[in-house]
Amino acid sequence: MKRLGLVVALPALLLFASCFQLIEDVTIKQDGSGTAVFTANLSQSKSKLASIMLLDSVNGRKVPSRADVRKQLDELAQELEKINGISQVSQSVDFDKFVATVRFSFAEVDNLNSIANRIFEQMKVVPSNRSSYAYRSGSRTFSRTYVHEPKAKAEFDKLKDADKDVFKAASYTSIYRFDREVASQSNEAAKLAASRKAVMLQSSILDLINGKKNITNHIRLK
Amino acid sequence: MNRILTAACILAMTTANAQDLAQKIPADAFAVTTIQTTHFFELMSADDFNGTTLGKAIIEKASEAGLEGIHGIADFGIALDRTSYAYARLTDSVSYFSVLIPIADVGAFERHFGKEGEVTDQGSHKRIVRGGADDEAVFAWDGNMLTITVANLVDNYFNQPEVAERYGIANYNYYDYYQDNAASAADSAYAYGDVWMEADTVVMGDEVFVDSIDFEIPPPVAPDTLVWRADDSDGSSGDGNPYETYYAADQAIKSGLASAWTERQASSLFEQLPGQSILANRSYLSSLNKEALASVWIPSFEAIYTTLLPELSAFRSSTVKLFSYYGSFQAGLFADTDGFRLKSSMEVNGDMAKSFKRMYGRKLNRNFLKYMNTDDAVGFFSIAMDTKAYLEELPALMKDTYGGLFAQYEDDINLGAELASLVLDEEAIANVAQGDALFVLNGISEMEVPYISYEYDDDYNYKEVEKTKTETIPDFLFMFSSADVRLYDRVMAYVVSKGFLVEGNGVYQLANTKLPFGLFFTRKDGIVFIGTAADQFDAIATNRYQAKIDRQTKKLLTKNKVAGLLSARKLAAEIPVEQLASLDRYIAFNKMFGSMGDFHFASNGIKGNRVTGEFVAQTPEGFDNAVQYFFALVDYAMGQR
Repeated sequence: MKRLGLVVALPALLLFASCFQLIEDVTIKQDGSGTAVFTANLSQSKSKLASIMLLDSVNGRKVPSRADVRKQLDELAQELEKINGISQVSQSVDFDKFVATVRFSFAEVDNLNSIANRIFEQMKVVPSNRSSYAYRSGSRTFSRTYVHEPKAKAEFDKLKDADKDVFKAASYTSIYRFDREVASQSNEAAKLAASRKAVMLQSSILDLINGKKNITNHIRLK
Repeated sequence: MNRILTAACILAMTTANAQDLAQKIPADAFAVTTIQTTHFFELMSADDFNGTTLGKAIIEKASEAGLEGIHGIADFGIALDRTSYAYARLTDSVSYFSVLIPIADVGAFERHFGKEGEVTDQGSHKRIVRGGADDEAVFAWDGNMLTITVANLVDNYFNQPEVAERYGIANYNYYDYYQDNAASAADSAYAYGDVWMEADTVVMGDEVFVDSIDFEIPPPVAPDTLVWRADDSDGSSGDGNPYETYYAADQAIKSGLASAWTERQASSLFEQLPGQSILANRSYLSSLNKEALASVWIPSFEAIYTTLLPELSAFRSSTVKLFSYYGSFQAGLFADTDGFRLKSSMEVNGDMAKSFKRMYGRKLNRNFLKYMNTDDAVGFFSIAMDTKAYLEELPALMKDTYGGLFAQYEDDINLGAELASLVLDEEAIANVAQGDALFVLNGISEMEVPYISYEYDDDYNYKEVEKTKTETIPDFLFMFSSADVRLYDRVMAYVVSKGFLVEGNGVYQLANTKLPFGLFFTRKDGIVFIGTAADQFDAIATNRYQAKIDRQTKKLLTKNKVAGLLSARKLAAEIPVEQLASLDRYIAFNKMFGSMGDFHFASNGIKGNRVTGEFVAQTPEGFDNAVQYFFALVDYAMGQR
């Protein structure tokens, strides 16, 4: 959950949505470099969001304007540029569809961990979990480790019921693409593409928060 | 002759009241709740009640608890034909809460209540003490009544030095320890020169703690009955702060007091009648109504705040009373053939009454009724206030309420209030919105709304696809009286020129929005309309609106200053089937709400010195009265689980 970069960029709007999709699409080359695309799709809630964005605040919470959201995304992109190994950062937001995207290239998989750490730093969160990305070219393995964070669940439980509802129909999709075929993978819930070069895992965000589902996957390549 | 008659009347009343437990309640009681069990069982017989889910559950629980011979609510020995009471009594040091329940058959009651060895005989009554040191409840009874008494000590009272000293309470401050030690450390450092070593020994030394505490700070004075725990190292926090120890000792003293006082209060209910009972209090008597199932009476609004939030008194200036212009408050719950009715009324003083009368001086614009169709309307809400009077009275109200509450800011608040009055042009604002308005919810319509989703190919490459989903959109018409045509025209011309609105036939529509519904504006007959249905706005603009208003709605709207209604039955019919996905839920929902009556509330503003309001939940056809309907609903809901 905490890995999802866009949650940081659009937290305020997310809280007003009633349903949203998050997609993490990462392509990893043999040398460990690659590209990543993070997409937040709030279009299922667009009538509600369009109505809410006409207001200044709802239930005492400030409603961010389009300019606020654009500025946040800009700042996020600038932050990413500063991280060693990250390049070609671009972002876009479409207020007709309510879809926002951030894409960038990385020199090595470990850069993704730096991004997460930087985001946590900014949010002033000390991550106690060991969720991380790792790639070892020698053993040809890519690992996405996810450790359920009871603290996140505790925080979630503190939310008002109306705010909790936001997460009920929210989904999270991760796609990891490789330039070689996958030999094996550890997560039974993940699906292998016809070409055997991509792995997809879909989960409800609520299941992740509640620790009912684990998205940890150790993928071994041929 | 008159005197004889009066005496006879008093005698008759006293005899009639001989068993009335109200005579046990002192005249200065705060918040008295009167529960007329008699009336409840007139509306629903005890046998019928025993047959309801709740009745059955009570009997079942009693049998589970090992009580024998309980076949119905009457078998507990409680008198169902007499009134029960709950009241609070407040003193500067303690608040008592007591419940008085009439007993019909003390033998039956005692058979089921109290384990052997638990009951003590106090002579005039028997007693059981339940609960721990902090939440002790005393159950006491004789052949006539059962009382349940609890007490809460007023913390502020025991924080006063002379009171604390009297009871041996230390009120040790958590931070004193650090200050005392810092001071002594500084002293010794100064005297002996070796600053850091000395300071360390005193403040940080683990081993010498208990001794040095005993030496430096005298232990609190504890009563003999308490076990003194000063040498119990668990009692002090990790760094040697004896706060916990002092706190525990204070709490023990306080629990001892609370327990003794609760028991004394419970006994007094059996041993003596109050000098003057609540039955001598006219305000209380006026709150009683034979037809009410339950009623609540509070002698003064201010007391609610000072009781529930004693901290507020710290903010309050000594000269100004808080909310002093609000008097007693009373509410009654009625159940009759019409439905459940919750009536409330609050007394206000003369000045406030004058302000309220001015503020609610306006009547609802009768022309609103020309744009309402009660066959279609699912609900409505109306308000009739005088904006000009409201804006003029507001500064004074603000000053009185908040000026008194935040005494230290009184001047600032006064200044703010004056400034607001100077800056606002009451007349101009009142011309734009005169203060009366009507909101009509005409229904809920469904609309297909497109959204973006993704389709994945075999290699999980994805592309955006457009899907649709059904959304429910409220269909409403909002109207308010406005006398200022020029301002309306100017605002509309401006926003049209900016491209926010498009105009056609005098009807303006919000342009370029992502909203799934249209938002329309128009103005006619001194009314500004805002709504969602294009056809309604067409009809308004071309004088073709088909109005229809039933008598009840007309009365509610025109006779009240604030009114609202919601028809659960119509709303149930409006909720799209799709939103109640499963058939079970659909059927349950329609059974539950499909036959439910209307809910409405109203306040006719101020009459004399009383502001009144009522809320009514109507009984649908097929039920004798609201109580029976309520239990049928509960039975039904329980059956669904």
